[in-house]
Amino acid sequence: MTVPPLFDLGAVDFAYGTHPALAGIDLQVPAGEIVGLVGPNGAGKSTLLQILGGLLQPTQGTARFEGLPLADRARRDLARAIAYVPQEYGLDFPFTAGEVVLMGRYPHLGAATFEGPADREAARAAMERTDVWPLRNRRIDELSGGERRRVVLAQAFCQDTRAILLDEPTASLDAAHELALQRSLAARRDERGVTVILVTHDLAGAARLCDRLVCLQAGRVAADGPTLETLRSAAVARAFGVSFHVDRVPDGPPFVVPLEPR
Amino acid sequence: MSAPAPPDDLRHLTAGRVFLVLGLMALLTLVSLLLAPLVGSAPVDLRRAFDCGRPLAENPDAQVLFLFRLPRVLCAALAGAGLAAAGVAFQAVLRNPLATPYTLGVSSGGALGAVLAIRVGLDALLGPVALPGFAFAGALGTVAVVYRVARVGRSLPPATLLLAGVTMSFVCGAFMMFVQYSADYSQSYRIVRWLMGGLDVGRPGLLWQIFPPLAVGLALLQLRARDLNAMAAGAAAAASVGVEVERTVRLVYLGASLIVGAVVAVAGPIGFVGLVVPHALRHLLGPDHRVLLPASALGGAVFLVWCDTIARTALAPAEIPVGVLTAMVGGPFFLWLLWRRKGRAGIWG
Repeated sequence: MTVPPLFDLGAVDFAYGTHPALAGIDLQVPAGEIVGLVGPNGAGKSTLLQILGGLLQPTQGTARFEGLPLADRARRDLARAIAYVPQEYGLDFPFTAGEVVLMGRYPHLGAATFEGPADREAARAAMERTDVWPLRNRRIDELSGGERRRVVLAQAFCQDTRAILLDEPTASLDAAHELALQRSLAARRDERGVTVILVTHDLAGAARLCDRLVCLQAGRVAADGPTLETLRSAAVARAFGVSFHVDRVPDGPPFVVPLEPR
Repeated sequence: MSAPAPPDDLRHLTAGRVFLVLGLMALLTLVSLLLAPLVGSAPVDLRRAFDCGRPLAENPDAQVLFLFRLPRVLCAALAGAGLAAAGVAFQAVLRNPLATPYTLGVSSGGALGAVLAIRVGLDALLGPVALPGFAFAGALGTVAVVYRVARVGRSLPPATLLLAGVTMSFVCGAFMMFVQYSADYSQSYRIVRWLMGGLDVGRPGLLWQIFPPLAVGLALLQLRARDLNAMAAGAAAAASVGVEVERTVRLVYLGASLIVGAVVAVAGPIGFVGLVVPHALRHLLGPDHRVLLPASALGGAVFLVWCDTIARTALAPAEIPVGVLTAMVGGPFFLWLLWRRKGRAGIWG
């Protein structure tokens, strides 16, 4: 393979003040892959996701995107290439759902221009995709947690990037919208080669969607490989303190059941 | 069976709407600037005031109108515009609709700077730059302290923020009393009168003291207006749509402190303009800062011009300091906002 990986972390350490969160992370993600970041609470998953998005800078080591150090890239350029969906989206101001989705167009707009017909169309397509178009003129602070989440996902789709990073995207979604989100993410990859990296505790969902799992434990990579194989590995069982039984619904998707250690 | 295409009635800000809103607000401001000087305890005969045949020295109507009332009305307009715009900017960056130069202690910090300048006699020594310069330094210093104290990790809990701001207000207030206590009689009188917040500046020259920093500050804020929309959703969310968060925060603090410093230096700490005006306009126009910020500046101008007109006429020939009036109106309004929040999910609930 001659093309450099889209994301390339080399020996990355990160600490919040004196509290270390990540140590010696090596991770390459080629374009078009769907990667799940899993691990027990406090393993450093969200921190790693923010380093991949250029929102945090490594205290040691290098983080590159398309071969260039993330720290050297202008925020606006990165925002046209990478969309990041945070775990919490708090907004104490009465923006409408549509206005929030249109913020995804900001990195594409000139300094003094307003959102035009093309931006409206992008917002509409994204909102239909996450099933929030009927909520377009409702205030975001009046929506339920799951609805708000889908609005922010629509913002990320509307941003029209080569990579999407998501922190617990399915956490507050009902079963139907969870499946729909997995479908849209897979479709983005299949149709446009979009790279998807998500932090999740939903291992069954990850098993269905991801090509590859990276399991973190105490700030280090404990396991990294094809999804089902990795889920069955001893390293993942050690990281979580439980083992996982992975099987398939006949002619259907895989499912994952955690088992008490024997 | 094909479903009909859903209607495209996605509401958002357009250039046309911005021009319409700002045009109307500008018209309202202009009318206020023209009418307010005509109101006052001494009647002004317009025909005599505009009589070009008579020199200004022998024309009391023109003197009242052009040397006293007009500069004062213009000063009120500039101060109101600055305070309201600074309020909007602080509210967006700190993600708190209740943040204002007053509740954050920024006004008090600026006031302490100015009081120190008066006490040390720097205003006599350095001339017209001393007061705004010291007030600006005081305002910027207070913002830095409050921001650092209230920040927990990467979030700014509203309760901590307001507490830190109010505490800084008290601390600055205590230092001001100390400074005042140690001052001689004439300095002390000047400090007290100035602290009540008044626009009875009387000298047209002061307009040139307030205008340049205000213009620079407002321009800085307006350049970041779109970024402020994204900032209202948090630093990470803003960065992910391309906002240089640290730089935006610094520029907004700089711009808002310039404005508050300039206003406080000339007019004393005038409270609640930055709360009442943005709140009302956010309800009317929505929260998009590209229109909310300039509209609040114009709205603040109109608000303070009329507050000051009431302040100088209600008990004529005596005068209520306008800061006392805005606090008597704005304080209860602030309490009502807090009251309404009770039992609801969000501040806007």
